[in-house]
Amino acid sequence: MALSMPASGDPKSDDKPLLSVAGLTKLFGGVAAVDRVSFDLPAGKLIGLIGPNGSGKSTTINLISGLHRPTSGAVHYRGRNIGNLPPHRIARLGIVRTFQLLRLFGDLSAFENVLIGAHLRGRHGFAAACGGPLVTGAEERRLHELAGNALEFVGLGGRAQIKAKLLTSGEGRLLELARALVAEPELILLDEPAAGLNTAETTILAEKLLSLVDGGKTLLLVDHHMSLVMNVASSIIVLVGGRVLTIGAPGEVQVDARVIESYLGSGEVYRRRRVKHEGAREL
Amino acid sequence: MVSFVEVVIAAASFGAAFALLALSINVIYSTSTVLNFAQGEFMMLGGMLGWALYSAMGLPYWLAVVLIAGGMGLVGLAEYVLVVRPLLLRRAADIAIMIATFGAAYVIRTATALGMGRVERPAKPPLGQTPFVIGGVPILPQSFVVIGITCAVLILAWWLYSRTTLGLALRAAAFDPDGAQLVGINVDRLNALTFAGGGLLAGIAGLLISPLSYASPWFGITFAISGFAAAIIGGLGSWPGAVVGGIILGLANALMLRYVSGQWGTFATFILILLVLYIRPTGIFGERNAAKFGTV
Repeated sequence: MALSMPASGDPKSDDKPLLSVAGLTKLFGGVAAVDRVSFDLPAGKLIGLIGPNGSGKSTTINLISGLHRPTSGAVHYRGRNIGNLPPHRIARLGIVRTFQLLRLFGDLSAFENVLIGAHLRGRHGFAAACGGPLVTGAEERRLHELAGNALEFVGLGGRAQIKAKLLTSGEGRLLELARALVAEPELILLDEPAAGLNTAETTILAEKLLSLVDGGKTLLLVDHHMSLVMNVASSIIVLVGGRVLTIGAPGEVQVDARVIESYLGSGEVYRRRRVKHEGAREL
Repeated sequence: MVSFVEVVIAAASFGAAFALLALSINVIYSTSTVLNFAQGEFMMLGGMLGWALYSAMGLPYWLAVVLIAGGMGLVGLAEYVLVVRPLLLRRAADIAIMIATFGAAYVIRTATALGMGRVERPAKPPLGQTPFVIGGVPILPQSFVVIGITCAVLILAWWLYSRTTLGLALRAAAFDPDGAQLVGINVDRLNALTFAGGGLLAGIAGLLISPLSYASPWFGITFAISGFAAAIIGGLGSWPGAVVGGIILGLANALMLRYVSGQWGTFATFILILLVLYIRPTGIFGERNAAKFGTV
């Protein structure tokens, strides 16, 4: 669909951010989990979103994907305010996500999980399937093929018929990624995709993410530890206590005294240094 | 021995109708997690409409089936739109929604009694009253109708759930409604569809069972108890469970009726529920919650 609308029709569209968050606030019982957060996601970039535990990272992703409704503030996607749209509408606009705690359909096979994602971009989609005629044979075959390809891309081709609840947590994360990718989204929100992955799996994940950016996707990568984000993000947003502390390039953020202090408070820098140290020894 | 076989076939006919009702309860519950206590009244209304359209007005049987299927689908949809949806959208507690469905049940029961009379109506069986005699055992033609249509519905439902896109969406929404929305499934619309389907199935169950007893505005509560008993014994949300639960229940009822006394039917129902739940709290085939929590 994006291809059929050439940028020449609107010369400024390239400069505009794909997603723009302005003054986003979410109160839970009077406590601000997210407090007047503003940032832009330029198209075709991988942006990191980091911060200590409880800094509002997941809530921010929940607000963008429509799982929570903002108390105030706006989320503009391609110039349109999506802040009050229900989740399935946002997904159909081209924003998909993965979850910190795996959110797969455990009773369905790996293949069926991806097939559900594929229907987001089917010509008829669930909208037709739920109200009108069932998806036609040719369409169904095409979606089956796409789902198979996505499983191959993340390396789960051989596990297609296994029920999702029987996969390992690493496989589950890759399956969530496949389910998100098969919908051919423009914007992918990744909530701690490396949690529970070992070093080798994390390296593979980083490669997949970079290849997605090369393919023109826009990614927002939430991570609790800085290691993965520092390696792949072109720019990093730091949240502390629900507010944006700073936004900058990985090199700048890494040496920012306020960032180091906020992480020191939760002991993260120590843990990170130790991990780095051990990693170096293995090499 | 012949009389025992007779009892078993009677049990299977009642059991099949209860299985259909349990199935309709599961269709709604597994996607929306709403326990809809108006299902018994849907079944009652299906029986009353069957009497009115076929026995009283003399419409062809197939036309009565189509009208009842469509009409009861609309009644189910109306319950969702007017009663359940407003509460679901505002995230009301499960118990509040359940009580609201009790209210809907009462409204349907009272409206039926006022509109169609408060008496028991004899519903005419479409294939007549003369029993077939097979191997010396007399079998009512209606038994074949009930069991045959229930089997057909089961096969159709299995195909819909396991072989179609709609079924895939229904299974996904049943497992995780919020997660389903995040992958683009309109769960609100699916819920509406399951209430329509639940109304349709329960209405057909009522149409089928009415010639074996009577049609009466007061039967809804008994139906509801039997349907929920069958669903719970088999395991809420489980399809084979609905069938097995319905048959066990039909058997217990029929045996009590034949060998002890009619008054003990409901007693047997509840003793069965207590026994099964004591041994297996999730019912015979139930594993929904275990499966759900085992995933993370």
